[in-house]
Amino acid sequence: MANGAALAGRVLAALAVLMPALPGAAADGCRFADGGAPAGRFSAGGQDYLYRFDPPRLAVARRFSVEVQACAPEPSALIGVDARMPAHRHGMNYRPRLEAVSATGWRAEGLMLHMPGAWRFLFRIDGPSGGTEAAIDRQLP
Amino acid sequence: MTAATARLAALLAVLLAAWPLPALAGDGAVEDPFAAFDAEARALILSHGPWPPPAGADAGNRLSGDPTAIALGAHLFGLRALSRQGLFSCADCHDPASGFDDGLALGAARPLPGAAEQGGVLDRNTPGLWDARFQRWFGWGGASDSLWAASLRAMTAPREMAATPTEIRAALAADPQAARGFAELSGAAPADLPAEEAMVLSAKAIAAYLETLVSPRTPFDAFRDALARGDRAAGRAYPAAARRGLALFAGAGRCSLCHFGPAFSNGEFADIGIPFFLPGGGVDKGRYGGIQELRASPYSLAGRFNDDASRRNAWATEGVVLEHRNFGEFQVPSLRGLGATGPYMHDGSLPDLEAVARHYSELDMERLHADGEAILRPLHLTGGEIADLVAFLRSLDPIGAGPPQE
Repeated sequence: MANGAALAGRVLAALAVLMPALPGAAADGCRFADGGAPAGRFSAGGQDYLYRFDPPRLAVARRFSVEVQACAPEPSALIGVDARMPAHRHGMNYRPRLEAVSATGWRAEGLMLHMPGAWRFLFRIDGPSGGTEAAIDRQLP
Repeated sequence: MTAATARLAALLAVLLAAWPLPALAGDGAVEDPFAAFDAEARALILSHGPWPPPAGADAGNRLSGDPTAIALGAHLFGLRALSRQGLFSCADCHDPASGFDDGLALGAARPLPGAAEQGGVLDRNTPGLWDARFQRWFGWGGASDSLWAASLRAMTAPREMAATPTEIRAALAADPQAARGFAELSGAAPADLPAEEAMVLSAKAIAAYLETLVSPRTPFDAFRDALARGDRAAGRAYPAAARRGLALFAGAGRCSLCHFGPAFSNGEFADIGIPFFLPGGGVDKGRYGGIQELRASPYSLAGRFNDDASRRNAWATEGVVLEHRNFGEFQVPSLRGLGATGPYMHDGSLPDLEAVARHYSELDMERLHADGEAILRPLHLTGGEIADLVAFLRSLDPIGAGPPQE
């Protein structure tokens, strides 16, 4: 019996270590509603958000969408998603259409990165003390 | 020498003659045709293929891929009656024997009402039509967001074919082959449809034909595929000058930033320092004017003639941003089949590929927008590098169309 309890304890400990590495799971339980894997995470205005792309693999000159999931139950709103190439001093040629898909989730449609190279995604959050922005760098392809 | 030894010697001689000897570098070592390309350059080269890429039907055109529509479109493409007074057909400016181009610096224009007898020239070079289906926008300023809208624009533009919907419908009705194909596609004779419907349907048939114009494979494609396979023997068949030009193109020249992907175009627009002042006064607004025209057109994918009920194909039309930097931007053309489509640039100001390479070598940075993209810089190419770059560009011509020279 004692051996069984020890074994169960070890299994639980192992699961606790493994959980953050599993797709869609984070140490704090933050996840997309469908359990899908995030591409990354950013913080803005003191709150955390997950993001992912649809399709997941970005390609030059191909349309895609960005999905954002807030980790807080009553988050500050995402009010903009944009992308720029700082070294080239230009952004995208298209303005994505952003819509809330739930109280804590958003989807930006119609993004397109028209050159290979270093892109910077910008997530604008309407925080309690005004707008704030998080930047995520991404190399394409 | 015995008879057996003699036979063995003869066999060896035959085998040696047939064996492809590897090219030798200057020091006598076997040349590696891929050696000049680092991992980043190889990834870029691979991204320019395979060719041709897969291409699905155009959701915005219900005639896309329809054999009857393609045959009708091919016929309409050469039908002068679709223009006012029967002056021009599509094929008169987009000559199939000349890369679907006219070989002129600026396209021929029809006379405007009240103007002199001769129509003179348009403000822009006539773009070739090979591989147009792989573009997102059509025309140097991208005023059209579909092949059918681009066809319709040429049919109705006052200085081009200048036809009205009523004239187009009448021309369709009067031409037996057109009327027959039209009736087969629409279930109605041209005269039984509203003129605008008949006009749009004829443009969609032409677009279905244009979708079939996919350029043949090129020496570059053979090299690119050899690189993908790691086949050095096949890679050595690609001339050294073209390889050096490709290294410039994908490397220091940074040409692949815009001329990206299998079609060598990212489908967007760029300002490369070509003047946009018109000889008769005024300016060619380039992409800026193209977006304005697109937004005003009832024939864009945002309009009622888009056959994609989901409107998912209208995302670019609805989301495109109009900015000051769009002045002076023109479409990034495909580079495939380039040898047949000179003169070059939106104003046809560069007569040949050597002039194109020199343009990038000696860029006028004063001409570029101060608030524009920070990408271009003069390449300061040597004469040899210009020749190499041209050898590479010529390797994008179809195999057999004039192989790249060493």
